[in-house]
Amino acid sequence: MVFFFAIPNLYMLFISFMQVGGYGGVVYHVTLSNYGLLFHWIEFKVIADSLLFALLVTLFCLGVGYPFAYIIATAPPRKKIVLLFLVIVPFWTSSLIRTFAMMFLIGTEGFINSVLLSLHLIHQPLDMLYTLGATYVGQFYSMLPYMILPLYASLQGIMDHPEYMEAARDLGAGARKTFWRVVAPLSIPGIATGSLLVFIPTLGTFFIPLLMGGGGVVLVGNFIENQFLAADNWPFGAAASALVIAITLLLIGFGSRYMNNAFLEEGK
Amino acid sequence: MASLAAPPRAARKERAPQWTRQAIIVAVLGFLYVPILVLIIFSFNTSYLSALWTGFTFHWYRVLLQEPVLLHSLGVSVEVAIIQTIISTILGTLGGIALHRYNFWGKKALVYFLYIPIVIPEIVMAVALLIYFPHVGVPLGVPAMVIGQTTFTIPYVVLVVRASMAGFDTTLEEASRDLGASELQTLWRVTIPVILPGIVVGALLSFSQSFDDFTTSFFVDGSGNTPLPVQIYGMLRHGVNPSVNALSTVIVAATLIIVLTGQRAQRRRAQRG
Repeated sequence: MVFFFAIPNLYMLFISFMQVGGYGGVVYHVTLSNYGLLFHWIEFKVIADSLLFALLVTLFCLGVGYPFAYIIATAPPRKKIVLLFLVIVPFWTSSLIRTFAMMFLIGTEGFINSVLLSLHLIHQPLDMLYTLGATYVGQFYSMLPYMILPLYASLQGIMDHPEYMEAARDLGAGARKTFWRVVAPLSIPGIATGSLLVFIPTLGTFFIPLLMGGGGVVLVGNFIENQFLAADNWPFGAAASALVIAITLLLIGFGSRYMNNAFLEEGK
Repeated sequence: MASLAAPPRAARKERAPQWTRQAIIVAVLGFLYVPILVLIIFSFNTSYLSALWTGFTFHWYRVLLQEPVLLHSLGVSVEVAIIQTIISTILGTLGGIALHRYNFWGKKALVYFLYIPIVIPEIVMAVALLIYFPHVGVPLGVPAMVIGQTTFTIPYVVLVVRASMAGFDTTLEEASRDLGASELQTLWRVTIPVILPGIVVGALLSFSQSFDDFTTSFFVDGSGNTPLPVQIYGMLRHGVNPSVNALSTVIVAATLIIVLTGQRAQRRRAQRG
């Protein structure tokens, strides 16, 4: 039994080492120059932009997702099931299709422009798609359920134990104080899990900037894709890729201390 | 603690004003659903270019059925998803059971390790596979996509199955063994039927992850094996056309069915647990 389990995982372990092996195999001699190149201005800017992008998207998701998750967790049971279901459906829906839906909505010949034009509120279509802003909206749209669900799981766990909040009230804390001193700190595992589930994929996103940023937005995912499929500089792409892995592992290592593993294991 | 014999108090709700709650619900759900609903509605629109309503038609669905390229892609996607789901469900289930049942050195590290393929940016994994496959003789195309996707679907199945094992009454297995069943019989006749809802959820998750997979497939699909998401991506790059709306609507409908099935399986699991 252990073997059945061990084989695919060893395989995975193997693969994860092959990233480095494959990289060395292409160059045929060991060099650090690819990593050095990453610190050149343009590449460095791509990485810094990606980190900023991922950070802001995560904060937006947290800002919108937290109140919403809170509302679900405190809703009456029947309403809770409906709300939860409505978050799970987009969570499962292909993000490519959801990205397309957003493109269709905000495109030059898209729904919003068509409506505004026909109402004569504008005379020229607004340039919403193919901008950095559109990329933010697209990524935010794609990731929001990934923030809401772990936050909900965590908040629901707190709501299942009303005695904490009652104790705070009995000790004279108001609703606001109870929230900030009791509920918010207890929900840190949910915040950590949700933030990682949003930040890490956003850091590596590549088709959303391509489709919604219209080529003007280049994040590290696009950079990697470009090195592999267009520029044919595999070692350079692999170095960027390794950097992303390093950041990811660092964040997981740091975040796992606060993370709520139960969320993933519940299988949504 | 309950010495005062106070009646069990229901969770007191935080009294955010009711209208604020409603406004947030409407705003968030609106944001999540309006794009999808608009997309679906306009898949029935007669006009080719305009995103203004000109009349109802099934035309774009008929166009879809007459696209050999799309049908081929659908075939590739289904093929990959089915093979992939079978492999990851079997291996993931066995892994999940083993992980629950046995304690071994490095188990904790292994569980931690399982999360990595789930959270790591897919593109990183995809390029690693692209480099790696030629070295081990895996041809790009269906086999590469199947293997590539199982790297992130097996962990899902393992975690879901392991979670359903947590609510599993191990005395059932003991009883089965006491009655003379072999290890394999016990697994097949007792353990698996009990955790079946969890396995179903894992399999559905695995199937939908595979069917929707764009990034991994994009890198390792080789030529002539374009799966549906990669095909859709290609169509999107050449501009929007209503048959993409129709295709998306079909996929959203399929997703909805999968989610409903999954929810039902999960509810059954909750009832048993």
